[in-house]
Amino acid sequence: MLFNSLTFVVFFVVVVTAYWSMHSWNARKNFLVIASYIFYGAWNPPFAALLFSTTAMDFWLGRQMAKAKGHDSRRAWLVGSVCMNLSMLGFFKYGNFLLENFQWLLARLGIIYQPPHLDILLPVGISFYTFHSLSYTLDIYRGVLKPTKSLRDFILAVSFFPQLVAGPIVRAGDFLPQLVRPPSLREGQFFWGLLLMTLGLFEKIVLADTMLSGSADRIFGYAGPLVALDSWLGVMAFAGQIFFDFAGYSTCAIGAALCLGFHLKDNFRFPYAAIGFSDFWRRWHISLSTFLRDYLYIPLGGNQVRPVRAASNLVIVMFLGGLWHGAAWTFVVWGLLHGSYLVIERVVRGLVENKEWVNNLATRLLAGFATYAAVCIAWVFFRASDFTVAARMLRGMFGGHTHGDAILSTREMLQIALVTAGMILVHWTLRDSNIETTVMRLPRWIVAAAWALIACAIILTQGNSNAFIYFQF
Amino acid sequence: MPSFTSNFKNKLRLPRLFFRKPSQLESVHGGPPLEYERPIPALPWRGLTVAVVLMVIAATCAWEFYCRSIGYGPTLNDNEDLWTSARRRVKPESVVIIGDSRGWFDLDLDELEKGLGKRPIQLAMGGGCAYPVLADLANDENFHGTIICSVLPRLFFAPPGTPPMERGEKAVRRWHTQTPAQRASQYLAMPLEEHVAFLKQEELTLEDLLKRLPIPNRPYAQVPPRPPPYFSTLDRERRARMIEECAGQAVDWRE
Repeated sequence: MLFNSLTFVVFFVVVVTAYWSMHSWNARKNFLVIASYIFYGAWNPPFAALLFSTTAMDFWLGRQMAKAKGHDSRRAWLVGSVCMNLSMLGFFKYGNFLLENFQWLLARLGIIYQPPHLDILLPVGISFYTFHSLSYTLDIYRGVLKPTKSLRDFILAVSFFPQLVAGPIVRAGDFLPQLVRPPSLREGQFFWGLLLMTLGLFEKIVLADTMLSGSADRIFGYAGPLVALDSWLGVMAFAGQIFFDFAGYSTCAIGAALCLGFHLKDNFRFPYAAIGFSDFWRRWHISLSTFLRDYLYIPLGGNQVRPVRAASNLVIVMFLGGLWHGAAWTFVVWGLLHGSYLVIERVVRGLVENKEWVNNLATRLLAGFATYAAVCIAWVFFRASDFTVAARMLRGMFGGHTHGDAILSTREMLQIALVTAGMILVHWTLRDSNIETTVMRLPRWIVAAAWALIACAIILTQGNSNAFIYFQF
Repeated sequence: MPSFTSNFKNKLRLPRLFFRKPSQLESVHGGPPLEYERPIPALPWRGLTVAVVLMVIAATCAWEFYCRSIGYGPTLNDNEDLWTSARRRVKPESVVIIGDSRGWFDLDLDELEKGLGKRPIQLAMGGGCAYPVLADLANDENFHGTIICSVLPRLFFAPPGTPPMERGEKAVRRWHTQTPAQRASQYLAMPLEEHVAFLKQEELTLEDLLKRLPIPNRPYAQVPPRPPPYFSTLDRERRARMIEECAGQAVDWRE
């Protein structure tokens, strides 16, 4: 079920009404579990059984781990959980990818092998709920979380519908404590949740789908050579589209959770105002970057090891982060590019650390601009369907097609320029703040007018139930 | 001094995966991390929400009246879900119409029913290629009825990757992969579209309104042409009826 669909509007109204009209906390939690499974099953009912089985397995493994006496047996239970989750992810997400690459490798060795075509349908949101579930056993192993006694609570923590299919990746350790006592709505919490949902839908339906996606799709889908202006605008359109698409979903999820009395952490913090790539990753898809940091980068040694090892740790983490996004080498290159950016940044920081000019406004702006440009270059690999398209785009961006085609209309160019400029301006203005503080500072009539305006823009745009980009991950 | 064996063990040591000790902050009371609460801006939310709802209702009504005043009327949107609902009605012995706009606009299903003895099912689509639909029906083992196909060569033989072919392919794909949620959305949308004029996805969305802005293009820009303006209505059987003004005037009557 998509947030930007009529079905969800009806579903949400029914769920919220029924939820708050129940008095028993247990009844509310049971109801949320059923609602979450309906939300998920509305896409493909059989896969709800898969979701349940992985959740139940992790619940059981978590209990076994807590009961285990020795360190080795605890580790064995953890390995069981990691293998179960990753093999599930591997089969559904990477099955065909692995087979194709195996076939390619054999062909290089002169062996002709025709693998059976696995008609595997990717369960929506499998990458997200696998990580929700995995965080539970990892945290029990690390000793930061006690296993819950309630299977129902754990099922709800993994499948809570606002964050189920496209994040944020909410760790069981952050959600389970909220299930201990019934939540009480603070003054304005419900309406603030509604405003956040409206804002998220505005980002998705109006900014991502209406203002930017058409141009990005045309540029990346164009088979001929493109002039530099159109190539850059196409990449900038995608940079804006993916931000508004994903941040819009996260904002909706946070808003929907607030309406039900739950608190989810921010997943984005004005990322296009980042100065440097480590700053970018502290602002972009925060729930994934912190997951990878805590469960992969730090256990690998983090930056408490020799510089070369720390650099390779960064590259390994970003390589896996890229692969998490999709079963294609283009995603791997995207991840490796970001890994390289982080390594280069670390080297440069070491060289200029004590220089006075580093914190000048001009230097910061220049560094911010360079970060945005480099992130855009990396987006080429993220969006391109294959390396031919990526190479064609990069050639166009760097002036390789002097006599290339111009396919964007003036209106499309203006849309991209205005939305991108507005987005970057807002990000830089609010980079050290947050949306709550900003709303508090604004006059009330501006908040009301802005809320009404974005709601009207959503109604005017109508939406066409375009799936969120991150659903495919 | 460490022995060779311990050195070797050290070298073979796996990365410190999952070995990190929790920080002091994380292991407060040996339990879960600290609970988190989002800040809620302190504003008079009830009054604010009422004001917003009233403004949105007023603006929506004004837009609806304006759209009706310039000639638009309620009609269903021709999308893949409506096509799928028509495809679902195909029975083994059905008469099915496929093809492009020639087989779609103003085709009188009542008259055809009188002549053929069966009510045909309308699966033609404006600007669409019939080939994917024909292939899908041919591959449907349950279907052995009659197909009436309108053929415009440049649409019927449109190469893969072109808009007409993609249109047909998207419709067939939706028929095979439609989710319960998409089906429910279609059922909810139809009554709304039948009563509200501005819910017209190819004419009155923000995107289409922006396309109408008179902004000149670069002289060498290869920009696709705009589709023709509103001139037909659609019902649940996907019957496309040209509006009355189309017959009377050869000009864009709304300009």
